[in-house]
Amino acid sequence: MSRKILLLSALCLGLSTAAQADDGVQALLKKADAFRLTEDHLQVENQIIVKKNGQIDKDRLYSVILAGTKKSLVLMRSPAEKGQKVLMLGDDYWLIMPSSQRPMRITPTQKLLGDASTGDIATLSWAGDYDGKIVGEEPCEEGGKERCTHLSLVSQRKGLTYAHIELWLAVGSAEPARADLYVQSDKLAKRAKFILDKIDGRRMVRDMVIFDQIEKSRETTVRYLSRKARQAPDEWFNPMYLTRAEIE
Amino acid sequence: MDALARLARLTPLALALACTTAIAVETEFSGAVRVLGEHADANRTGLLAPANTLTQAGQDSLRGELSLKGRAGPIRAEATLLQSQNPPGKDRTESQVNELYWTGQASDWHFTVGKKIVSWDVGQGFRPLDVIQQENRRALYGATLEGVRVVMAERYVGNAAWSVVLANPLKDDRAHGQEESAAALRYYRHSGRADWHAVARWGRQTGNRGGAALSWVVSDSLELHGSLLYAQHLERVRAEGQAYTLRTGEGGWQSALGLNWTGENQLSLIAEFWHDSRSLRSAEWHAWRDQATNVPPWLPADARMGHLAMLASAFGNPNLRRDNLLLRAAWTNNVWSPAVDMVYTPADRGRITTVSLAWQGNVLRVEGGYRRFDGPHSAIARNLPDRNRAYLWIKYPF
Repeated sequence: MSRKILLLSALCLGLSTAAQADDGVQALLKKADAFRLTEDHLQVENQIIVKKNGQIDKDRLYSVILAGTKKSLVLMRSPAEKGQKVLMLGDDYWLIMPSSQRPMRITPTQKLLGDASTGDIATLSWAGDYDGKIVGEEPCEEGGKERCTHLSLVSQRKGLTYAHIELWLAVGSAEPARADLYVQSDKLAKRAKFILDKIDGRRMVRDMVIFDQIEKSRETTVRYLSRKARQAPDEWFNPMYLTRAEIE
Repeated sequence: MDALARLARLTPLALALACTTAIAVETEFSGAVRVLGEHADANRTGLLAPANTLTQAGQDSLRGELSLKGRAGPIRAEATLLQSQNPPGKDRTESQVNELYWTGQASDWHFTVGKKIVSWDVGQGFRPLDVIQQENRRALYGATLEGVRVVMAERYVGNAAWSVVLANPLKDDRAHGQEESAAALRYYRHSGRADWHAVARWGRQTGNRGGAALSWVVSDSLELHGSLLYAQHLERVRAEGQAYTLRTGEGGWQSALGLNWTGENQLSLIAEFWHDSRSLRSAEWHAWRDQATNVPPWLPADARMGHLAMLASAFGNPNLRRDNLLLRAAWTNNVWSPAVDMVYTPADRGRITTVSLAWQGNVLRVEGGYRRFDGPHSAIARNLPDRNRAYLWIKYPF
């Protein structure tokens, strides 16, 4: 663990220097975030489809309520998980199960449990949380014609689901094309592909397709069903408020 | 007549549902059907074995549950209809309103009136600060809890929260346990990686109690937690002549200290040690053993069985021994979730070991488990009426 922390600290130190050299990284990330995040205060309805060997294994619905980039509340909507809630305040996390009605403090690793890592659906922004350097210009897909800017990013907070991300953004528009997602042990956990569509008159990410690199037969599609501006009351982001029926 | 009686038992369920639909502004419904089978092996070598028939040891059961949850504006309800056969062939139908309450807000205060599940504290195996719900944390399998009648006011200020609760305000001074008329105050504060809880409670029978708890996320994988509570009086099962009955008596401490580690490989480990002053002391268990082994030989067989069966009521405290150690390992790949845990009582080296396996499909969930009560012949866990218990349930939520 201490080796991991040292490695991470070294990477952070190295990249803070790199970030100074690449002022454009944050600007690019902000531009890329706008393809998933339309407002600071937002309610997003997500559908998660988990496929195993090409067959649908699970189909889940989630509501995600965001207040800025540091606060999010995930409400599970499918019958199998209904009543479960996860609250994320920066690097701090709580879970409530309907059977116990008791907000429970969980570790960043515990939030990885579940069909889709909560971080995959609740984190819609890279700017601020990640920094790094521009590696160069490369084809968006191997052998493809479209050109992408390749960024190598490292998390700026310890509790984020992915410690390191390799991200490819379309040259010019900064539309997200694909990403390689690495967990804290620096193991490649997932590969993501972004599918964009014209939604409410503007190009937005419609699907994020995640290919599990540990369980290779597993593919998860995170579909953004709707995004609407919503200013949730402050108390919704207090862990003890999770027991109240108002946020079911 | 039998059918009418069954219908009458459903009245609370019908009322709960009618209530939510009648006021329907914005309604939301969900529910689940669960079929559960349980098998038990009687303990044939324990001290109370001759009374196995009277203690209903080794009894199998089959149960069907239909639970419905509804929310309509400020009203929320959850009710369960249970159809059980215990033992198989003996039908029994009952209904239970798990929750039925109103919520509202005035200025910064949030109010709740009705029957609600109010669970507090930070531990897994034992929760001293769970002074309202008083949930049994060592149940063999999960079930929806039954709420407590409360009038509650809560205030959320930044990272802190205040809760003021009147529990069972209409109960008289004979009510005990979860039913006891009580007032409680809780303060919660989230400060970085730590969650602090402080609780004070006044009970009509049990007087004052107060305590604090902490949950601290030490690293990305490790959480430590601890709780400490002192009670002026505790309700505990204790000897009264030949019988063991629940009585309010001297006070004492309840405490728990534990850790929860979860790895990236989705393996999680829990270790927890707790002390509960409600349990019988070692000297009291020695006296119990003497009562079980020195039954007057001149007593008729039925009377001897009755005497031994009466001694089974000594097992009524939530923890058999004062000091307990819980070790649990669980893993999940989101479809299969195996788990194994053991509660060890150092005083007599008793062991209660449970293994379980759950399968989660897209909708359907199936879970099975097996619990064994073990240890040396002198251990209390080894002398419970059942030696092994197994269960299997299938749940379909909708």
